[in-house]
Amino acid sequence: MLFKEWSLIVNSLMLQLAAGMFAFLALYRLILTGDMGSENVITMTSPGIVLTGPVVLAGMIASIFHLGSPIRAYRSIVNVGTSWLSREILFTGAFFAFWLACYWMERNGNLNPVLMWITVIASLLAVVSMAYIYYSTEKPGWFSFNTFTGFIGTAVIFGSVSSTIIIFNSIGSPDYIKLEYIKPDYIKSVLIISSLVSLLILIIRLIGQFKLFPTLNINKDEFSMDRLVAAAPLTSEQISLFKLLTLWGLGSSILGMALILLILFFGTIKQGCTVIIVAAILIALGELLGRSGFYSLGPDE
Amino acid sequence: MANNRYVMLIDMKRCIGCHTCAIACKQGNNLPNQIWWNRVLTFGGPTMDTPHGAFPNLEMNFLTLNCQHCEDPACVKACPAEATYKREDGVVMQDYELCLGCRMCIMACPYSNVRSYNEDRPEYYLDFQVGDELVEEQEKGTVSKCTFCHHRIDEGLEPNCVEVCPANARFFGNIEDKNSTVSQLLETRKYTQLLVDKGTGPSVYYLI
Repeated sequence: MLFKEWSLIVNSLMLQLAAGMFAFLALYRLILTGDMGSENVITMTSPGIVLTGPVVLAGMIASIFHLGSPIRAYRSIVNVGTSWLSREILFTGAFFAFWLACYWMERNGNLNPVLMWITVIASLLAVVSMAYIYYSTEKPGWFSFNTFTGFIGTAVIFGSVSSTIIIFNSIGSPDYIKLEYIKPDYIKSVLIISSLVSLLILIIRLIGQFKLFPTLNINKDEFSMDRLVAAAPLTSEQISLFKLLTLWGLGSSILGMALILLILFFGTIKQGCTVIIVAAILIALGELLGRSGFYSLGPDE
Repeated sequence: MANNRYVMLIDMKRCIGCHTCAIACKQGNNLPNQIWWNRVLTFGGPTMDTPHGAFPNLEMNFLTLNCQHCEDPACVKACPAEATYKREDGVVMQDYELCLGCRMCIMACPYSNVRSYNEDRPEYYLDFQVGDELVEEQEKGTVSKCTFCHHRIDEGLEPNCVEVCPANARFFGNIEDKNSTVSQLLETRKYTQLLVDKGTGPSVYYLI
């Protein structure tokens, strides 16, 4: 019950991690290069750029396990005209293909920024399409603005956290001494802004969930033909599980994000490396619980 | 076929909740165990076959539910593989050979439980096929649903559920033909449809 849609949980979280990480690293390359020199910024961000593709691939592979007939998975992009699932798969495929081109150029030391931003756009379209898949259903809890703050929010939160880890690791590693013109305070201020945005998203989510909770209870016994046949109402067990997972997930993510902000405000980069890993685990756990809650609302066949 | 648009009418005043339509559907389409394309819901009571109201003013109504074969079906739009499609005569079909088993159609459909997912290999209580031999064999990992007995209507016959109804509560026909029984009934009787506000244009009408 808890992880009954594990393949979709893994798929969605992986895609959002990859999209967020790649977008944040592209952004950092854009805004940090002027002050620190492109070579330093490339050294700091390159591990994340390389890691993006395998993460997308892992997510795509996981999604196949959701299909009843995986051998026909190739047909999933046939209906791009009206199906959000087809669009999501098309954009995810484009994201991966563009990433391959980016990876090849990165290895040769000449990654084109325009290609990088095209890749970012493909990844964001994939995440938005994924959110629309659920938003366009009749399922209580899915047909909600929270679906967007959930899916796009996870991409932002994961992007912010993973890029913080990658940058901290590169600065904290022995290679640090090879980097010139590193400006830890400047980097920190950039990371603080991204972490504050993530915290804001978590707070918006919390408010959104508290608004959603009362609407999940539908009285099936109400004397109405429409109510009787409307998309399967949630059971009280489903609602309880959803609330539990959502609130624990949000609590864990907020705690993790607060820890990151604490280190960014008061700690040094070398102190931060370990603490940020702990915070990242809390956030990953939080998002996992939240997403499990989301999919626990899914249809029982 | 191009000038046909098939609809189904269910007379709620005549329906006696005998479940014959559900059984005929299951048998005629050789549906696996646990799979029902046509269900009889008790409308108003707390559970199946229970009345609503307070004694002695009790009332029991039934609502039979199958795929509504919508004019603008949400399932067709949502299906990524075009395994769910609409025929020119309005019948919404599911092609098992194209179905990925992603269940997007189930999630997109505004009506609950009109589609069934064969999570496991279909199993049958009987070790021989029943029903019409033209019925497609169901596959593991695919979704299935009411087809308005397309194999029968293509032969000019009525769907199983309509033919067997002992109360004559079900009608099937071409709404484009103004002389058809369904057109006449819709002109003379009050009717309702389910979840009209969803904008999908269901082809099943309930005479009230």
